Amino acid sequence: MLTSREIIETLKTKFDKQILKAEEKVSNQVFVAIVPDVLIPVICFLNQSFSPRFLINAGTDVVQQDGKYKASYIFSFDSEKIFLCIQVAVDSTDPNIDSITPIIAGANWSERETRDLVGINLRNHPDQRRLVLADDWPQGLHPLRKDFPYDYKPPPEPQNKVLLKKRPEGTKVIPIGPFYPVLEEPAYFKLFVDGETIVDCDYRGFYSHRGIEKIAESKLTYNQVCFIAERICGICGFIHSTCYCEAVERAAGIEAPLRARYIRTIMLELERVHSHLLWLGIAAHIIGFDTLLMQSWRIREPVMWLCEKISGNRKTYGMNLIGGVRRDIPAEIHDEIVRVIEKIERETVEVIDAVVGDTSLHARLKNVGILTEEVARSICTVGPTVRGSGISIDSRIDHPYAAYELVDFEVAVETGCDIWARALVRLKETIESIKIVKQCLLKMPDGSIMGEVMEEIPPGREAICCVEAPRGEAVHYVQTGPDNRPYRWKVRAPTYPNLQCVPYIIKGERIADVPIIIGSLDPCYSCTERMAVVDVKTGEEKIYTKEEVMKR
Amino acid sequence: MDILKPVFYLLIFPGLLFTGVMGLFFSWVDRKVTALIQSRMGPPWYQCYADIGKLLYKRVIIPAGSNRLSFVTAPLIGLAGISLAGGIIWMVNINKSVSFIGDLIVVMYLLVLPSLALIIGGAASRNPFSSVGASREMTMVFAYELPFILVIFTAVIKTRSIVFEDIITYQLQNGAMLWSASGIVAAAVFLICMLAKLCYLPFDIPEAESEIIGGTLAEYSGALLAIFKLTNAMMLLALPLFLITLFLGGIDVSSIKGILFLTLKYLVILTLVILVKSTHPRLRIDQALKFFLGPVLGLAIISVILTVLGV
Amino acid sequence: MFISKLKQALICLKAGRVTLPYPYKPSPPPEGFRGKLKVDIDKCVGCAGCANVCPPGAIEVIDFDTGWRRMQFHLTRCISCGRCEEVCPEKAVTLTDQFELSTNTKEDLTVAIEVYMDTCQRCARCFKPQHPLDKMMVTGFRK
Repeated sequence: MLTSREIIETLKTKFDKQILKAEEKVSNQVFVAIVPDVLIPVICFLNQSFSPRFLINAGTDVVQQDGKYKASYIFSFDSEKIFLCIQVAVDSTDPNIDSITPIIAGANWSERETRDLVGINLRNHPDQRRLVLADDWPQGLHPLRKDFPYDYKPPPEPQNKVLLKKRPEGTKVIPIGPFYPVLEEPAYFKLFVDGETIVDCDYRGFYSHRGIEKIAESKLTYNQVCFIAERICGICGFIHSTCYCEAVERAAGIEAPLRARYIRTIMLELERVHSHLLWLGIAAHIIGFDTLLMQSWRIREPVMWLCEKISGNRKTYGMNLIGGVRRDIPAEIHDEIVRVIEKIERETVEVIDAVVGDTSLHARLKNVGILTEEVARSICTVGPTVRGSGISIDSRIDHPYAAYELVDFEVAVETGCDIWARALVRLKETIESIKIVKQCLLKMPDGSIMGEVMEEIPPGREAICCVEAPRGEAVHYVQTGPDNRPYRWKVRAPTYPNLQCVPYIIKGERIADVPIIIGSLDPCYSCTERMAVVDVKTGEEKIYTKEEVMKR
Repeated sequence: MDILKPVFYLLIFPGLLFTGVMGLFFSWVDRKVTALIQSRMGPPWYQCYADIGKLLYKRVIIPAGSNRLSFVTAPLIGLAGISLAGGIIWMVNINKSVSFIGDLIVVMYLLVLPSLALIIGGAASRNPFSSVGASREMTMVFAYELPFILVIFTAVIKTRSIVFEDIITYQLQNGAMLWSASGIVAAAVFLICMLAKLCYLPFDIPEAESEIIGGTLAEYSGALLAIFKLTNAMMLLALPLFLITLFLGGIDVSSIKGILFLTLKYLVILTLVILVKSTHPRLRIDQALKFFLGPVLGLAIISVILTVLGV
Repeated sequence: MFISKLKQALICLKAGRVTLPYPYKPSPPPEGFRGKLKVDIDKCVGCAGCANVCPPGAIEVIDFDTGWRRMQFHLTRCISCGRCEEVCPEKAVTLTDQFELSTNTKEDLTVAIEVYMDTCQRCARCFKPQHPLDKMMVTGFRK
């Protein structure tokens, strides 16, 4: 089994002087700073020798300290439970870097995002279009640079519109979005169809930016960021706040007490239960099966009432702070929790039993939206999407956090690669979550729920945390800064890599299946989009009536 | 004065107005029972009337570049077709003497008009989703019309006539057509085709709200949409009555007992429709095509063969 | 397939109707619910600890040189996280269980109090700082 020491030794032996610094800043997290010229050879070497999984590329503006822009490429060694962060610093006067997308296809969006927001230009990237910034955002203005104030609204420049692919011969364009009944948030898929079969597609997203990373880095203190992290997503908010708190705790060396870790685990699993039941309803609604929507949401409702009793609110629990949790789960409420989740378990098993043999559902969901293992590995998709294709990745086992090392559970994996397999994975995970909650309630020790924080957190520390959201793996990278505030906070939601695999899985499918295929990834666009500044309206062109809508 | 009577029959009772009002009432029953299956309250009794009333005073937006004439007249074609068909079905039951030669064929043609209206409206809307919906509706009509016509012909074969009067008289003398092997198979196929004609799940493919944003009806608003919805409600009343006339012994409104029996038969059919509607997801268009031109057509042919054999 | 449909129909019919009669009947939230903010002016000492920790910045502090401090609580921005309640040393800010906040006049949703800032005779400060991570970024009055 590879250790962090061995990784550092291997890299140093191979690349010698070109490695500027390589250290294990936090336990099992290796940070390696390299010279920009050697980025491609390092990545190729890593791919051949170890094949780690690419997570995200975080761009940071460190001009005030070194006069450079820093790009951090974060990789995960799943079986060895190690994070590796390759950091490359480019001069601010000439910010150019080689793109790693030709080697790792999954880095496509992260590199474009860094280029949009921090301004590090890419050489050899196959797609040089804008990804994140709005269509009328001026060229050359990069919001995540430190000299860009968080509340500045630049004058619009409509000529920077992103051009989507041209229609191939013999096809028609069907626009899915930005306003569409089954997408809860705006996103634009431009489908090129021939009859009812899809030939190709293009995507324009990031309509609902909210400036979360920028405002966290400009104005908020460590404890305040927990609350904005919770509001990244309406369904998996607690995951983001836990991930952020754990990342800061790892960076600062603060230890959350055991009871707090168990409480976090319980709330995380309750969130998973409610999210999967919600997904079941949405998927049923997309294929027109409204009865299953109503019934699965009826089964889910007691979890919301339970969470309201535990945390004071149905969804945004607001329980996390740096160092632990704010609210306890007293012993009086344990019996009620067990009663509610056992009832949900019974009813979920009943529903699973009733739909598993339903051939009308099989007709819609089997052999549709096939995601093969090779595509999944090259795009680095995560979550139930990839566990339905036979790849067993789960942050709860690979990079344990909260109290997951102390509970027993199984990871649900199916090999069907289609929507049915993903649905089964999610349903099995719901049952496993209920088991985890029951174990936590039994094993939870007495004690304090908030760790002692003796002093201010020193600047310059970095850490990474991965948490298994219902949709997949969420990654947070935190760099602490002066003035008791975070310097850089990078969030990667699970839907980010999952959306990149959409063009591969809808090729050859029919229009009627596109909504359910996209729905089977369980996309959470609000998680995916939270970068630039608040000012948004895009001039996205719809096929027919945009001028009329504008005129009225 | 003579001209006023048929106009009255066609427009007021039992034609447009009566069928419309009763159809909307049964739409409400459908929604309320669906709500019970989905564990929720349903709408209050006046909901469907309120929907039509609200739509009548909303603005009608005609998309620029669309074919105005077809866009506006398409719903009217549908309404005309169903009110005539509904009127004929009611009238031949109430007063058998108004039946004329070929009225069964006329009703069959008239019942195609609502689907045709959807196709014309969708194609005239100049919206990619509407044109996809229109092409789906064309495929659906192609799929279900053949079994539909075949099972109607079982009744024709049994009575050797294409006049409603003869069919109803035959049933009064020999018992309902349903009580025979061919009758049961034919009625089952008729029921499935009726679901497709009404655009109800699992065959509401042309109007799939979650897939193609309302399909053929995407661009309709205001009074034109109200007419489409009214047409749909009237079909919910007229098609089961058609089934009752052909296979279940006709409508007898001369006595209270007759009216009660009629209500009972109608409610049984409605319940079957609602149960199937709320327990099935939507099929894809190619799956629906294979379904109708495969098993359903097969059953229709079997029912014809059984009728010919005299069973 | 028919057995599946029967099972599904059984699940539906066993459940019955589950709709709550809200808003025709009131639906009180459970205890511990984080609802609308309430401030008790008699207890507030004007330390602005709540303004310091408020994540959305819903609490505005305006100082007048006559020695008065005005605290404005913008309930339109409040996310009901309860941090203000947690850090208030005098328990002057509390969260009630009210959640029906809709109104026709937006001014209803701003609560303002004015506090006279008296100093301690021994240390000449107005109040004691709290937790290291919640360092007072709004500096203490008269520091």
